[in-house]
Amino acid sequence: MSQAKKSIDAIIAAFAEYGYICSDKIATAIFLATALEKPILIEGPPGVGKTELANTAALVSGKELIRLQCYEGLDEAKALYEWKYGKQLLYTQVLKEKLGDVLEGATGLDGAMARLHSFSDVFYSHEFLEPRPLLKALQSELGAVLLIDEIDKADQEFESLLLEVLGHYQTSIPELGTIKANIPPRVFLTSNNTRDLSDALKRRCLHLYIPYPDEKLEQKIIASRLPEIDPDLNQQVVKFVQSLRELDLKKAPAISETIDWARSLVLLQANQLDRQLVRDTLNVLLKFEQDIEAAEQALGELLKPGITSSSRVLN
Amino acid sequence: MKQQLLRFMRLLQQQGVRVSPAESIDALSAVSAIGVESSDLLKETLAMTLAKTAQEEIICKRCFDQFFSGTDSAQDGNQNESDESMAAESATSSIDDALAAAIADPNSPANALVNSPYIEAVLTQNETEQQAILAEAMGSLPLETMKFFTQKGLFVRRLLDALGEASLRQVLANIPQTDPLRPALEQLQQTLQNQAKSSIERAFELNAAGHHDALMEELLQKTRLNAIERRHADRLKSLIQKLARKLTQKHRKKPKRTRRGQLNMIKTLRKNIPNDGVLLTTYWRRTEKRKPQIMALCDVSGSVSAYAKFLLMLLYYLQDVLPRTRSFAFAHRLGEITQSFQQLPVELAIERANWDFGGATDYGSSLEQFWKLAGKDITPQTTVIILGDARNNYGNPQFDVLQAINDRCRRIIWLNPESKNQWGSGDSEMVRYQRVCQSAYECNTLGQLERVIDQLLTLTR
Repeated sequence: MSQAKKSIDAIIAAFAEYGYICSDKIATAIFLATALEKPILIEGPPGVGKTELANTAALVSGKELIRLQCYEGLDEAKALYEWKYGKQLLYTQVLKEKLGDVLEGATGLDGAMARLHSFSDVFYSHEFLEPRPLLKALQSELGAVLLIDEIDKADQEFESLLLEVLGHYQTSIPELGTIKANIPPRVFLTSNNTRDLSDALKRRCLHLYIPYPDEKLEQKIIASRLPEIDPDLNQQVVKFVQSLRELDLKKAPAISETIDWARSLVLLQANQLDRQLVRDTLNVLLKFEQDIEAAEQALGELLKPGITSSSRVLN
Repeated sequence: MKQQLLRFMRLLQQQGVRVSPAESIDALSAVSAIGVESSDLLKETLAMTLAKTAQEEIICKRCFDQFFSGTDSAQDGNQNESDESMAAESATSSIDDALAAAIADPNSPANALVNSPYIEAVLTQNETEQQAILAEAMGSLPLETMKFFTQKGLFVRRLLDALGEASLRQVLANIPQTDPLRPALEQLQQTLQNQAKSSIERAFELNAAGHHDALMEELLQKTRLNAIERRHADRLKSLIQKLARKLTQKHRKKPKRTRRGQLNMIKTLRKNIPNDGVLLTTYWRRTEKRKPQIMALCDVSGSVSAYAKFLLMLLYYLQDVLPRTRSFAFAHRLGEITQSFQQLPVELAIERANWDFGGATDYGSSLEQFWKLAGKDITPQTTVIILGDARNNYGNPQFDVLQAINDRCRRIIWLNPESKNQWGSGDSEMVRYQRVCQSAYECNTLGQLERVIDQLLTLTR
């Protein structure tokens, strides 16, 4: 077994300890991101564990998680840094009062101006800088995990702002110069693909697409999140959800919904899926009225294996 | 290995995946981190570093399978062939030996074959040597230029020349018909030709598929929309989708000039004068965000049905990416189709629009209905697009309604699928409608459509 393969298996094991079951593909991405010091751009349908991956990565590495939630209108004042204007204004007030002391003994206007120029200016200095998530991640002493969530929701202008941070782990503040990261933060970007990201941004990232998991993986995930679940029920639940995803739905149930559903079934102390139970709890799994209707219509078809097994129990 | 990876990347480029030099460097360093022992790992790694969308990832993985299994399967193929020929040869091994002896004999005409290492490798059944020479010969050919199947013959010929088949032909021409070596030599020639053909065939499949797609798309862009055959509709769908995405990407809603964070010094000072100049309250600069809105009216009557389908399709995808687009369909009456566009898949939505509103066109009453339905929602930010041939069946054209719409909105843009010299002929009211709206364009190919909408979006900003 090669060195790389070994480290990838180690990543899978480490993540599993924190309850995140990742596929080989995800582990490979994490490994490469560490080896190449590159951000990972995670895409995939909502609820497949994109954000969770970053959370777990922070837990595994024991670093601080800094999260930046993107939305329309997000700008550098909220993402990168801002000046503490209030304090700056106070500073000018203080300066005004102390001006007499500073200028004492100066003769004439020229002398006063010369004195003023020799005086060091702290109006734009680190003391008055209010770091926001991106700058915080760069300045973190021990390194950090930076999660830039739903980057597709931010404006395109914001993407360009990110390029410097993502490409070189540094940022330029006009008044202060370039600030470089002590330790390059591990960066995760997530996107729901509501719009295409710019090529420049994509180029700087590893591209990781997380699809809905296959049956085996999903069962493992459920089992790790809900250790008390009956393995039979787990299998039935996953099978049902998987076949539900093949229907033409407005929003297919994701892993998080499967977990919620399995949790509610456990709470209801069910150990078999039957028609009535599914009908009653379908609203946990599906979020649109139309989807629920469509699923109810197909319920007979979807539950076929489940029904035969329950009838066998009755016999 | 590096060479092979670079060739793989070139292949990806031909398949439409953009791979920049920076990306290929990234991919190479990723590969050196991950190693090449496991082909699955390698595949994931390359997909992760080179692909930028889920779609490109699929292309990337498919190419990987084709590209890296190509060398293996070639080996298999040759194995089979040589197995067969071995069976045949065992019967005529004396002739084979004789052939080998004849080649070695400087006096025999077959001695000319001594210069071809490939033939020697075939005769000695040295597989590795054969593969190496074949790969080298393939590498020397400009395979990237092979775009059409008609070029295959030429490339087979060039490959055969590179393999030294010419000398074999020469020998065959020189020896008499009755020569005992003749069958063995002919068989050798056949083997060579088969191998060359299958190698080129494989290379063509790898190379040309991407080119073919690009060519097809280019052609479809230029064809008149009503002349495009039904079987290309699928391809066109993806093309239109691409176009809509490209246009909106270019003309994304103008990013808000965010000025939060910039102090409005003048206002702050003025407002703080009552505090004796102490700046207690701060005032910030902000600018209004302008959101352009599009309302599109599409004629779905029989006379323009061939175009309407594509225009509706474009509207469908535009609405997908420009959320503030409202779509209307009309013929004898008008109705809003925004809802059904949002909820139904594209084919169904278009069919529904045709079914609900199709018939003989009445522009006058349709405009009137539009005015009633959406007139109050038209703002100075609204751009109204009308797609239709303006053939009103001699009904009342209601210019004043169009004028009223024009007064209220930012601009009206009329896209007419008929060529300009037909405007105003017969029952066409185009010339008179044109006077009311600022801009009217002829628009009947995808290329034109793209240009017009491109312009339009520039103007609406």
